[in-house]
Amino acid sequence: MRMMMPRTGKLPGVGDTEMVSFLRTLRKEAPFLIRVGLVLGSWLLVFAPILTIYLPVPAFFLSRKLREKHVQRASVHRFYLFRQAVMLVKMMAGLCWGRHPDIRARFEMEPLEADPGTWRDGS
Amino acid sequence: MSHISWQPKGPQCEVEADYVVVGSGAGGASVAVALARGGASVAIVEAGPWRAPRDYPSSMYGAMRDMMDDWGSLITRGRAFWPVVQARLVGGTTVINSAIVVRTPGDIFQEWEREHGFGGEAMAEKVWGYQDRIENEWHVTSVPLEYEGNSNRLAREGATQIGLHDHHMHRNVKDCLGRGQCLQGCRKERKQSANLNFIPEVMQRGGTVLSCAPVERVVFDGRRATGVSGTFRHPQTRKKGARFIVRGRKGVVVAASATHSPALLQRSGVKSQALGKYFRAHPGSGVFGCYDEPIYQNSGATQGWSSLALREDRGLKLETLHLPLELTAGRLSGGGSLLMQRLEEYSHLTMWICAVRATSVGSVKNGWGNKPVVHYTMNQHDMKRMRYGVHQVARMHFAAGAKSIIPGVVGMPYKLGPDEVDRILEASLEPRDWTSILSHLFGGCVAGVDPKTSVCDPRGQVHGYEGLTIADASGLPTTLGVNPQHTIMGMAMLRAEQLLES
Repeated sequence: MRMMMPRTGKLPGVGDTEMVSFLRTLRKEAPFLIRVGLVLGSWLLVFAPILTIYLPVPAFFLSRKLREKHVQRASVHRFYLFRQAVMLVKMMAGLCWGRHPDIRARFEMEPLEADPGTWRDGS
Repeated sequence: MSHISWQPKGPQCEVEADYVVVGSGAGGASVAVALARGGASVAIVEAGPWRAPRDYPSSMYGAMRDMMDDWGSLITRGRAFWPVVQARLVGGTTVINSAIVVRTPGDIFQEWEREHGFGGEAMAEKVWGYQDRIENEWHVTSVPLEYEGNSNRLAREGATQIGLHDHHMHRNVKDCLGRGQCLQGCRKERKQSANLNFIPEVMQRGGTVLSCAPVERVVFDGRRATGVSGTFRHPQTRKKGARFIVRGRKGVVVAASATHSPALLQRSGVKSQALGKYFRAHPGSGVFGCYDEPIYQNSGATQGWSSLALREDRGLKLETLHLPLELTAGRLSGGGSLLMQRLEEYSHLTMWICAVRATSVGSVKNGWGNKPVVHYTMNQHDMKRMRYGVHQVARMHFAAGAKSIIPGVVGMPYKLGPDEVDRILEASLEPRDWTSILSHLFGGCVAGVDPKTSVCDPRGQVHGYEGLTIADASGLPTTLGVNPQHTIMGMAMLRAEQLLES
């Protein structure tokens, strides 16, 4: 997720938000298929530079410039399943990033209220 | 009145009423309230929990977790994986939609009469009569100008410029505050969803509501439906709780949605050649316009403008849609720093969409874990329509003053300028190259006179069975070309009237 939405000069990245607690909560709450999809998409992003920039090394060994090239190509890859798996990572990163008060403030948006997660008991 | 929520493992929960209604969305709530008003006792069985407005989430993460069916993870299987958007809570999709109300067009009843052996003017008059009443009870009004927001205003101006007639949305919203949070449920209680009006009325009239209660099977005595059974599910941990059985002395009404109703009948052993077939939808795709001035698309009515100008000739409905910031990263192409650069202009973006009255037909099957499996692929005819619709939306953006548009189609440039708008007409027709969702769903248990091509008869009674009625979008044999909530509600009330007569 950090590779997908890194910090730039103008915007904080997903790593600057509460990503670790977001992932911890997601692992606890999300259905099995979403968890599996996210892990699969993340693994593909890390281990598939061979499919994008034709280098047989994991993404964390790449220079920043090559890593950017890899992530960009992965997100528009012609192989549909690959592209969709990467899309899921991007979507989850967006859910974490876009709800953060600092990010919303950058776009002059009010902070979101807490999600209560409550429901009505029987009566 | 009573509401029975999650029950931990223990003695079986047993309820009895005249009618059991499976599902509490537009169809289920409407049929239930009409039956209750007619003097029948009703038990509503809803798979999701009951969340009041103070329980509604604010973030899209919370909306997916607390309100969507399986976190919105149901996707079509076919050429492309397109999300199928449905809610799972008391009130169903009426809680998370944009509250758009469009009367059933007259040509729909003619089409049903011509091709499916029912409908016609008599049915139209009845349904419109119910829709009159619903519009009054649900405070249907057009979007107030002061809460129109920049996006809806620009769409109106752009459409006028290119000669499309348009209108403000009619919505079941009372005194809208324009907070742009329809998709997460209106915490200000302005949107009139079924959990705020029809369901409480059913309870006031002596009805019972079971929530957190996904139905596993319809129970039969021979060919007569006598009730439903299932197991409570905890809304947070998804743990199984006590078993429940709800008996219907006079019958069972299934209104669990176009995906869940056919799946429920299949796992209940209902025999019908047409069961799960003729699934249809209005797939939609959007185009961002990039403007010089900030748009702040999340202020104003979530969906406050639409045009039906292209419905009859092209099968298209054009409308606005506020895309929350959290979902925008997933919608914009690219990754890494490039994606972040593209997100920087979020305040200057606004999305307008086209929904296609698709001719494509899919199917629904009951899958592992009682989850529906939807097979659906857009055919080339419909893809051409979608491409044409996106082209029209792009033209509207430019007419409204956009400096560029983001088509979001693989193979196209990320942005197109005003002089490149016609390049959209050369975009790929491969569904995998498009970002689309299925939000309006129809069929799977379609009504008709022929048992070989329909699951239920024109009164919604399942062919070959007694006491089993379909009262949701799964019974509609065609798409509508307009938002379906009003039609589902009007038809459900008609079903209730027919049940009370019989």
